[in-house]
Amino acid sequence: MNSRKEPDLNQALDRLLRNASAARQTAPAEMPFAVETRVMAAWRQSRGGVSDFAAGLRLLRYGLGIACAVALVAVSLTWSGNQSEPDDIYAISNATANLALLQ
Amino acid sequence: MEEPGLDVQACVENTRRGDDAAARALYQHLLPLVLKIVRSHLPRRTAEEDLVQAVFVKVFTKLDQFSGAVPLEHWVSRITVNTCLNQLSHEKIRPELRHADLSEDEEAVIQNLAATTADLAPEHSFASRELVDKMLANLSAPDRLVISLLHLEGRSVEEVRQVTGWSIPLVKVRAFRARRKMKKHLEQLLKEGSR
Repeated sequence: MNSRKEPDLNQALDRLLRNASAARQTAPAEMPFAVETRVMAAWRQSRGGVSDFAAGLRLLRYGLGIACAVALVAVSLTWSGNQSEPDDIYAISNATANLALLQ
Repeated sequence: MEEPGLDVQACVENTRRGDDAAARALYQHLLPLVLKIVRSHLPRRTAEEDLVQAVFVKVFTKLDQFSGAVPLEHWVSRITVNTCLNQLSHEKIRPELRHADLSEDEEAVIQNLAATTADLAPEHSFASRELVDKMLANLSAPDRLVISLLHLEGRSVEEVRQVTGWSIPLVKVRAFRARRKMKKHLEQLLKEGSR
């Protein structure tokens, strides 16, 4: 049996925490410059600054858009060209008849 | 370096507009505060620099949400504490601390606590801090946080409420439970030390 008087745990914990709080108060508030640079880069990127990859994607998107527009115009012109009827619908039959008459 | 007499409000406005110099000035102004909180609540397997970076990226990207209703430092403190808490919540609680795990200096602190009722000598503060850190590692992240803020950083319950966003009763209850767990650990260490 331990004859020593049990210390008041509340008081002992307070003393320990008080003593511990005195440590590390003089730690320098410094960070490597790289951290600042990384933070600034991340901030710029989040504000809409684009990375090379994002810029490439944007260019690709524009290119695809323009290609689609050109293809649409070409298809529509071809279609309208196929749909338009000759000025004289009897031109060919008349020509055949005329040729027959001439012979 | 932090500029003397920095106009924080103007700095915030300019940073929102994308001013690089203002953002750097704000970073330098807030770094000591962020670093102090990060160092107090640093998870074991996380690099200090990574956590500081994560905090500042959050601060800058959310700067548009800062209404100015509270001081900027309080707002940044809350972001920092929540970022640390998120990291800490992924950590597993360490197994129970045994007397055999203590260093010689930490053992001397325990002996001192058991032998006298006087305050511990200042030269024991580093060992005390190490011991407290080991004891805190046995607690959950919120318990660790509340003890650090209240007892190691000397903040008031109201300040803890502002920083964590918890209600005052919750802060008190968490502090009470965390202290109870720490007392249990301390009692165990004192018992083992007296054998």
